[in-house]
Amino acid sequence: MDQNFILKILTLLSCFIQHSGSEDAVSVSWDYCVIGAGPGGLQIGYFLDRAARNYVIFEKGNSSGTFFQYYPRHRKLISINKRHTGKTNKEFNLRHDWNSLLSDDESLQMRHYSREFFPPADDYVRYLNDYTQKLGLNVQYNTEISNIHRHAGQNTNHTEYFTMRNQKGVVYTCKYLIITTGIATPRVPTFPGVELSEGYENLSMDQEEFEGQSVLILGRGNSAFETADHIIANTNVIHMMARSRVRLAWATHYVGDLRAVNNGLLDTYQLKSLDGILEGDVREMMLLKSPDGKIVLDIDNTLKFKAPAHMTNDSNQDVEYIIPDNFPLRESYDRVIRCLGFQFDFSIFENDTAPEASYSGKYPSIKPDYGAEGIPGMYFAGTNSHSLDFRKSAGGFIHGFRYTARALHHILEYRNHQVPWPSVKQPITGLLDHIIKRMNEASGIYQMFVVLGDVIILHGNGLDYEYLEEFPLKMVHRVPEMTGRSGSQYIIISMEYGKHFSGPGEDIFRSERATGDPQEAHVSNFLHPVLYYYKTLPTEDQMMNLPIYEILPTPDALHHIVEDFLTDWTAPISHILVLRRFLETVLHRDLRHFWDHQCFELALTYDDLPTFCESYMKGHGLLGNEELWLLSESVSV
Amino acid sequence: MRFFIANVAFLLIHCSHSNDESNNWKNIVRTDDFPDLISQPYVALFFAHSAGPQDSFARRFNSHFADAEDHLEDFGVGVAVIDCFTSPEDNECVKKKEDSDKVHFFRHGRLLTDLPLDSMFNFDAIVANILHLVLLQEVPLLQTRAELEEMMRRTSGKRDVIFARMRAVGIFEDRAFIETAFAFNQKYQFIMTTVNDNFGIDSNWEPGSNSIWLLQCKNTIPGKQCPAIPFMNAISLEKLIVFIKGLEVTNAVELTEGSHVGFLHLTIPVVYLSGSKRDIQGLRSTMHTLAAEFMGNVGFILVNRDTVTENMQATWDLSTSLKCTSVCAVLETENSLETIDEFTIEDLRLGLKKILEKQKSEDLEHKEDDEDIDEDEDEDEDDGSSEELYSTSQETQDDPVEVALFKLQADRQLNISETVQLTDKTFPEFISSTSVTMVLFTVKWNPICTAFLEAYQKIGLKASELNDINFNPMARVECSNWPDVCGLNNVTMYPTLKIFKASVQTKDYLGRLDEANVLKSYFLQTSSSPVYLTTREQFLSFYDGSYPTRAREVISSVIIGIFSDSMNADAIIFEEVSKHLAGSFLLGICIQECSNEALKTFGVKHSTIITVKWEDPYQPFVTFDGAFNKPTILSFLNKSSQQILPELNPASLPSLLGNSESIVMFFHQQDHPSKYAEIELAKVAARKQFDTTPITWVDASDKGHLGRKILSSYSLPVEGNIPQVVFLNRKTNAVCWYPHTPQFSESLLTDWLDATLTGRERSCAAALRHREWTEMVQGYDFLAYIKEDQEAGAEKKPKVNPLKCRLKQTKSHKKTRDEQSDDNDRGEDREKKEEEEEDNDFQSGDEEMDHHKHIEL
Repeated sequence: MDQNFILKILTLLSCFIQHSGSEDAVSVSWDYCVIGAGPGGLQIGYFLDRAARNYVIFEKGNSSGTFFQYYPRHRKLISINKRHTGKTNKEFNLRHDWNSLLSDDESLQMRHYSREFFPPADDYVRYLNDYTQKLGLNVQYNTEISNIHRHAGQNTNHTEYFTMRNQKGVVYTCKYLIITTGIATPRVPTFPGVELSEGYENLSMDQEEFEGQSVLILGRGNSAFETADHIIANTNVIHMMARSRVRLAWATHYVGDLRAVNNGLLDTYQLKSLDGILEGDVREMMLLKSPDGKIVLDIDNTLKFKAPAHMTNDSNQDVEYIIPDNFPLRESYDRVIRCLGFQFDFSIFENDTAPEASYSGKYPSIKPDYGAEGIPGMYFAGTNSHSLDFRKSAGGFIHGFRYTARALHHILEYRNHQVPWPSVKQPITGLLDHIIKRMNEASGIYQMFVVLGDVIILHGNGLDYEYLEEFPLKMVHRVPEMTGRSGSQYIIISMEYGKHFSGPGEDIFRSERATGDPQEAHVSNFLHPVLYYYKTLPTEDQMMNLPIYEILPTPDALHHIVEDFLTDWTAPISHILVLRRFLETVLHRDLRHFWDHQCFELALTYDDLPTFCESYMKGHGLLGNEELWLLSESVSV
Repeated sequence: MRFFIANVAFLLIHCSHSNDESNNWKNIVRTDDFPDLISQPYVALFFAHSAGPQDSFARRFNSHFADAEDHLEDFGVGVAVIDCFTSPEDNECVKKKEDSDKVHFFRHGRLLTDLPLDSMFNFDAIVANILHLVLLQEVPLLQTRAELEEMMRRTSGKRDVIFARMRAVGIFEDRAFIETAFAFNQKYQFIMTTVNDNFGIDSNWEPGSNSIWLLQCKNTIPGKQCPAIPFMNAISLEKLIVFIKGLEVTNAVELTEGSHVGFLHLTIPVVYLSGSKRDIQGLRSTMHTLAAEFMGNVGFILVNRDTVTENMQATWDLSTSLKCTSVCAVLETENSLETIDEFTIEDLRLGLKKILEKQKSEDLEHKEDDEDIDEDEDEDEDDGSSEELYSTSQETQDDPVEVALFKLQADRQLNISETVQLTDKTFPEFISSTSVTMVLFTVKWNPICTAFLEAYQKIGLKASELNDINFNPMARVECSNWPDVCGLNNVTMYPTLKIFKASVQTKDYLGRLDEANVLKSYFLQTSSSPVYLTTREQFLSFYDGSYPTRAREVISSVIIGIFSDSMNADAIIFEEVSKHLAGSFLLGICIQECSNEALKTFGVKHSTIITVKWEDPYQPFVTFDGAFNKPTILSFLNKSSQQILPELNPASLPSLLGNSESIVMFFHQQDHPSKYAEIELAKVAARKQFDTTPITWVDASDKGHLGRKILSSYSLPVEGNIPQVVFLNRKTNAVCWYPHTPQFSESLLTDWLDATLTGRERSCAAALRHREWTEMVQGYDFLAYIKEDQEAGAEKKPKVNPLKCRLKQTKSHKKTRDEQSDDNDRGEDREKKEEEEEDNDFQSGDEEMDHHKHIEL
């Protein structure tokens, strides 16, 4: 019986002990309560479980991943399931597996659940439930949490805690709360005639119902295009309207933008085959129903549309508008479909414990340590933590938040249990290899580019370094306080796209879109590693006042590794040699390798030795052979 | 200066320029600074005995010498004037009093040579003369044709030669040549002559002219003359670098989609040979003939008009080439474009020569103009156009192990097929396949890992032979393929060599990566510890190294504990020690018949430990005479297994000097005096009087040997005398030499060593060279580049790769209103706005209020 299992039994026993009296009066305590057993909740649950923490995951449904039982409506995930990469490196392969969660069980990889590149959502539900069961996560199903309330130091220990209730009134008490409820509440706008439209969430999946119909879709996200793709073969015409222009994921490198898998409508629009896309603000529009049951769209009164008096909607507005006679949306529609996305459900909190909403109201407002603004002890994981990197990185998606969940776990381990951030500490001779290895295989900093980065702590004597993986870059100024690790100097590694990779006026397929010149690495457009060297950590002030496009404050030295078509940064000259020169400059050390006879000669003729020869003096040298010695004769030592 | 490479910082820490205005020597430093100055690798010093320059020549020298300081700093050379006027009594000033018309050049603290002041007549002369001294070994000056032929013979099949004929050392062209040599001498052999002869390598050479040739020796069989390609431009640093860069790329390209034209960014003339399909074969032949003749000077592009696509036209500027109707050649330089229709190869050759001549004379005119201007101005070497070209120095490999492997793998594949590469599945099987296995954890980019692989295979095969197993018990895990396997084994450094016994990891192998040590470690792991010896035969074979099988092939000593029986208290302690030392020593417990025979052999009593050293002629075995407890025995075993007078070599240095501050080195050769001295020194060592200072011997048999090289680096007054005994203290950097050579006796050696260790010996001097390491080539300064780009107003546009300079830019399109609107988004509130803009499109910001008025199709 493994240790984790015993701990779980003990935990459950402790829960039963606290559970007494009638059901209404029960009170159950946990150190960590995770709300929601979707991928975000399961991922943080896994880390809590393996750290043997006292935790529970509450799930309102009767199985894990209930969101995915219904969404996406057309049942095809658009996160890639790349089963083959030609490589056996499991960490590298995670760079191209956007669905699997992190675990120590190799069978829990999405490639074992589906052969489809865009897997069926039902397979993912199966995967999430297997993940829960195989890893033995403590999920309490059929528990719909509400009335979350924070108590500041009101218990016998004068510590802060949270209470919440389930649908039956059972009260749960938790020291720490991790909200992983996702963003599952459909956003419904308010405009006259909204009742004439139907939402993505209720849309019929029967394509026959759309046969010969004219459809207007509001929204221009993936759900809008997914819907259009689903009915394109049945409809007369599909028009799509949204406030801002279509952003293509392959142009913006943001996976939340329109993915190529869904963009069939772009073809039929640009090839003038009746379908079309246009820009307009839904807040300014009105829907009206004509006597024949068709729906007519109107845009505000500046367009001078004279509506026939017999057109109606529930707002009973006096409609006397006139539009130009070539108004693009002058034809009526059979259906108007809202595909306007989802937002976080703030209703589960009591008023005094509700987190602030982000600027758009879509996400809760959170701090870089994933904690709620102004509510100590409340944290967010999974897609609802995406306000931190919205439109920048992948924190709103499984392949991104599986790493931010791990970062949150490390933060909690040190903050609550004094377990320092995991690190490797070793001689400086290992640093170059360490960096090369990470930049070639690390998935966390690759998926969560510009958000999570590796931190290298250099110790005073310059002979050792300590390597911390996947630290939130926004908190670089707080490394010692957040991790329990500190040193004299720091190198931060971040993966970054070039600042000019896309945007207005940029042709992303332009001939000079990429560079292969190591000296021009700073103008690399594609994802590439960037190293920041600081003699002292940036200050909070510097971090708070960063220009919008800067990832970190200006370092004491900076190095870009030139972008690589294969994302293989092991080229001896273009990648490794120039990186070594950077490290030599900042470490003020000769990091070359030498044959033993060269170290031997240097040791007996010079008062100081290159770093590698210091290692030789400790007995870790390299003999080589005459053939190799001769070949290196031209190099001066 | 962004480009220059060799930026060995010259630490003029104390080089406070004098504020005394009456003293107008520039760069003047105090005599106290002399020791610090000459501790730099290279330094040129002028000892000034007057308050200032006394005549116009000296004044000019003073000015140019100061200018040269900044310039030479980039080459790692220090330059200063020593103030002997205010300290005339200073030792060095007194010594140099008679040399007031010379510049003294020091290398690694030693005076290499003096340069007469009249050879330092201007900036070029100062820089060139000094750099010739820095590259004394690398850039030989030839005098005869025989010397050139010898150089060709030595470089044939290895590398190409850049050969210069200069009117004199110190002229502008010479400076350009030697500065180029500084940057590229690792790739090419640079040689030079000032003799008015080109030694028959080029019949078109004009006597008296300054000229440079590429001698293509790399692909020439030894004994044959290397073909010569002349450098056809006016000699300048920039043009020479372009030439050398041009040699590194193919200068004949047949244009197809996706062609790489490596010379387009080099600003050398380009010839487009244009024809239709039927002409191509002839044009191809012409192109390759001329490309070989004009290598490094001209680039050739073959355009088959029948296969040119729109894409190609969009990529390359082919408009002129496509205009001609039959065969034509378009000769393009930076400033001219000339088309020759229906040409012959001779027409083209002449045309090209004409263009190159014209370009050369224009360059020379520019140079003269510049020189006129520079008469009154400081030279500015920061020519932006050169910066890009110097990047090769940043990207020139200087790691000896990397260089060797690169060359080796270019030549042949590594022979490593008999070492199994393990996977996550085969790893557990492998480590349980036999009693002891070893696994090497590697990463493919680490040169140490790669350099060890062939030796590792040999070790594995030898181990299988020794252990009589039919497979290689040593395998490898490539951690860039199997990070999970490496992670589970806690491997974070590469290479890591781990030993597994019955599937369980025992320890990491931490020793030297060589055949002898790794095999020894494997052998000791496979041997039981202790080995139980009960019979006379077992004793004899253990003693002579034939039991365990072939032990003597792998190890050099064994330890025998001789006891009356195995239950004896001392035997039990010895057994514990043996278990503790398993894998490090071969220990045997000798009881019953074995002990009887051992007692006879060694003449000792029971409860004795003997270390047998097969390779120590001065001490074949050592008997333990301490108290029978674990720490004392461990200490004895560690010390007793060392030879009395071990050889100091790359393999033994770490163990001999690793824990000591000092060491005695006996440099010897194969002769009687050496042998006699060795015997006397061995007697000193055997007495163990100087236990903390290892006494060793170093092979100095011939001049090329490392021992000789080390000995000569100490610059001892007795240099050249072999045998020689030297005491080295690495802490104080002092080297003391045995003063009685060639008289060697135990007593004289003992007295000398005693005096040395107690600080009484006078024959000592600081001999280790000072090495404060600074990077030979600094990392690219991206902070500066970004700043430069921003200052140049290029922050919105990526810098175009020089290679692309001649490529057509894609057509820029006018911004749509939407894009302009998006441009506006790039402000302080961008993050918030973006968030708002996601798929909740109905929530418009104010800036979007007007947007709907312009609904666009």
